[in-house]
Amino acid sequence: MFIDEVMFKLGITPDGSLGGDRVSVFSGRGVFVEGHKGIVSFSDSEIEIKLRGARLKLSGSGLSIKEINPDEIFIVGQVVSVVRE
Amino acid sequence: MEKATLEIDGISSYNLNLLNSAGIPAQPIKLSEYHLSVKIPSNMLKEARAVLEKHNRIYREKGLTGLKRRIVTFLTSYTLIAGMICGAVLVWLYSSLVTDIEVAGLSEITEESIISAVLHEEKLPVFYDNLDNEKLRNAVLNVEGIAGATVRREGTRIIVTVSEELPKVPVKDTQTKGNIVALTGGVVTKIVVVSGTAKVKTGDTVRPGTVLVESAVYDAEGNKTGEVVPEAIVEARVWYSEILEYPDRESYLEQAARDVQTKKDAFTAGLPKDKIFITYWVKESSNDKSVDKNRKISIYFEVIQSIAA
Repeated sequence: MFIDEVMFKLGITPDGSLGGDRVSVFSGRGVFVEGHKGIVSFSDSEIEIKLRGARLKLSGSGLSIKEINPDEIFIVGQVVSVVRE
Repeated sequence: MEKATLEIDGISSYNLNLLNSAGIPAQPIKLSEYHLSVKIPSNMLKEARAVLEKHNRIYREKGLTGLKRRIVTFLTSYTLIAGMICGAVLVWLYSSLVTDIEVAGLSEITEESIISAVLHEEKLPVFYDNLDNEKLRNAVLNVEGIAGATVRREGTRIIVTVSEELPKVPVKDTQTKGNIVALTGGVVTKIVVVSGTAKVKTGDTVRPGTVLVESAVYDAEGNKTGEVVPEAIVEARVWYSEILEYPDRESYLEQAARDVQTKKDAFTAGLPKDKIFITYWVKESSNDKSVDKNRKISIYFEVIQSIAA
């Protein structure tokens, strides 16, 4: 299934003007977060990322921030859970 | 892309967010709660510094990464090794090559003649293994006036030690009882007889071969009493001449004046020490019998010299 189709089914416009964020989980090996607002806390086992109006809590083991830029964060490690609060 | 590494102290999440807020993409290398080591694009280093200093962050720059870092690393490490190798090669070359010649023991003979004799045999620089001391020694011995020589290598130099031949002492014949005769013609200006009998006096004109001092000695009556080895100092005014010839034309005198001066300068410059230049004069004549009637300039140089043989 293409991401565009997913977005369509979720009612999100292709330009992402919903103003939200997007979290992509890759088989538990990494997480790609778009539209973040910064890191709240991190450790090997837990990383908390600030999103607009929410927080994203990643749990797992060997977690580390591979790359971060103003819009995106790429986290690698054994991701066990992704919780949006 | 070239990257720079920053080490930032303090709460790492805060520091990462600071960089993010300034629009600086970052790649954490080491990440702990209170220490962050992060790679950022080199071209954003200025912005990173600004934002970190604005928020009083303690940070260190760990230098460039990427191609520039590799170049610097290469230059600092491989250049050092290359420099050491070059240095070792230069030291080896310097210690293996003979580059200079030193000559000792000279007094009369010039150093240049010895050096040129050595260089004729062996061009410098030369590896000392290729140096043939015996060949060089023979070359030095061939230089006129050298009685003995040793050649050895000392460091990068060839040391040539020579001993010169003893100066030639004029041998005086004290046994042969012959007459002293004139070597050249002239007018006697001085005659000092040490032994023998003078046959000419001051003012006499002598020709080559004229007996100046006789070996026989006589008593007051003119009777021959014996024979001695004659010894005397006889000096005379002697003339030398040169002839210049010119075709019969009007401008020859001007040319002749220049030629005479040149001849005079050459004559006085080449005069040996035992001859004293007195004067010179010029006589002009024309060869009327000749078909072309050319002009002749005779130059006479007058000197005082010993004429005794």
